[in-house]
Amino acid sequence: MAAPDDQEASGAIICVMVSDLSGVLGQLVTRLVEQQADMSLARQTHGPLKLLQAMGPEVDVLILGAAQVRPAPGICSHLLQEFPHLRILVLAHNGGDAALYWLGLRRERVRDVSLSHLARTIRTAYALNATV
Amino acid sequence: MSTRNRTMGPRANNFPLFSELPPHVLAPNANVTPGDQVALSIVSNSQLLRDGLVLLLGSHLDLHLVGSYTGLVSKTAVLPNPSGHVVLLDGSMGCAPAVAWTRRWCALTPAAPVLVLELENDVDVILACIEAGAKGYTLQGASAQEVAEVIILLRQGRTLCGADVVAEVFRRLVAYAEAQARPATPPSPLSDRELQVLAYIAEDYSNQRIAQALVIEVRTVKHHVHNILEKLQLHHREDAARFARGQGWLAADVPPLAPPNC
Repeated sequence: MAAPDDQEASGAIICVMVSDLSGVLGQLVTRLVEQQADMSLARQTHGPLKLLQAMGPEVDVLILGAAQVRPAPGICSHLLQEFPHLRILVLAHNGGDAALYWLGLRRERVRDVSLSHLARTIRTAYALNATV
Repeated sequence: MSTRNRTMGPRANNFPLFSELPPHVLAPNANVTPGDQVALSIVSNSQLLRDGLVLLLGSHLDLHLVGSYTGLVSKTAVLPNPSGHVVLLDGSMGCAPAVAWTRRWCALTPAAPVLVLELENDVDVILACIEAGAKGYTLQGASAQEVAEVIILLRQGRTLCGADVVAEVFRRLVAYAEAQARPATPPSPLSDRELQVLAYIAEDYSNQRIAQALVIEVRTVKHHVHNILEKLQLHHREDAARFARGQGWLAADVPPLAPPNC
């Protein structure tokens, strides 16, 4: 697995999509992504239908808001089947909990859900991509 | 205060925009203006939400963060509150914890108004938090701008409510006023069965029809009538029915009766 910091240095742009995160947390996440030199915000959607319509192969990491991060929201298995390279960071609506899902609905709990670690978590998610 | 972005996403609260409020709402107290420094404490078990509030509110308010707390803390752990201090409390954990946290923080910081954030759009949950002492609220999905607007109004001693909350408050006020105006119903000395019999008597049912309706013997009805008159110290069944109705004993518990088949 490539280290997140190596990823930042490699010059590749991580394409991030945000869905079902509104209010303060939605603003925070989108601003954070926009401020990262190695990330681009693809789009922001609300609701499963809009998410399915907007999702494309260019998206590397999806940050998905949900009431609970475990088990994975139902749409995750569908998206991972359709886009096997996708990494989904499920974030509780108040930001208190997060989990990372990837192919096969494998899961890793995010230990530190804070502003200072969120960008790193996204890079970690993207780095997981390279191992598949 | 920085310029507000009017093109932000859909508004989560049914509140008017700050800039749309009439002047008397904006500045009822000349000593408090939107540009004043705002001392805040933030209570949430979400580090990310606490970080986000500080970062994003900072672009709308001259913010002074007094304390950042993960939840229920002891009184000694709460930092001293400057005047005009506001407590922002994350209410996203559900009704019962939100109410408990609100009550606790109102007791910990009695001089500081508590603003509950991220509440679900449920009138009962909102009013439960207000009854627990919250001075204001914002709903899930409220932007930092909306939170900042409610904070400013709160410091002016005002708040914003959705129309559905106001309607429910009005309904409860009317119900309360009616309950206050209604004379207290004295307890009935009659049994439930006697009250049932009396309800039929009030509808001019004969003993035989009462017996049919209640599926009991006629002599049992007569026995009940005898007891009713004795307990109420009256001589006529019609007087007993009139008296019971006047006392409010024949109200809700009596099923509606079909008219007698004459």
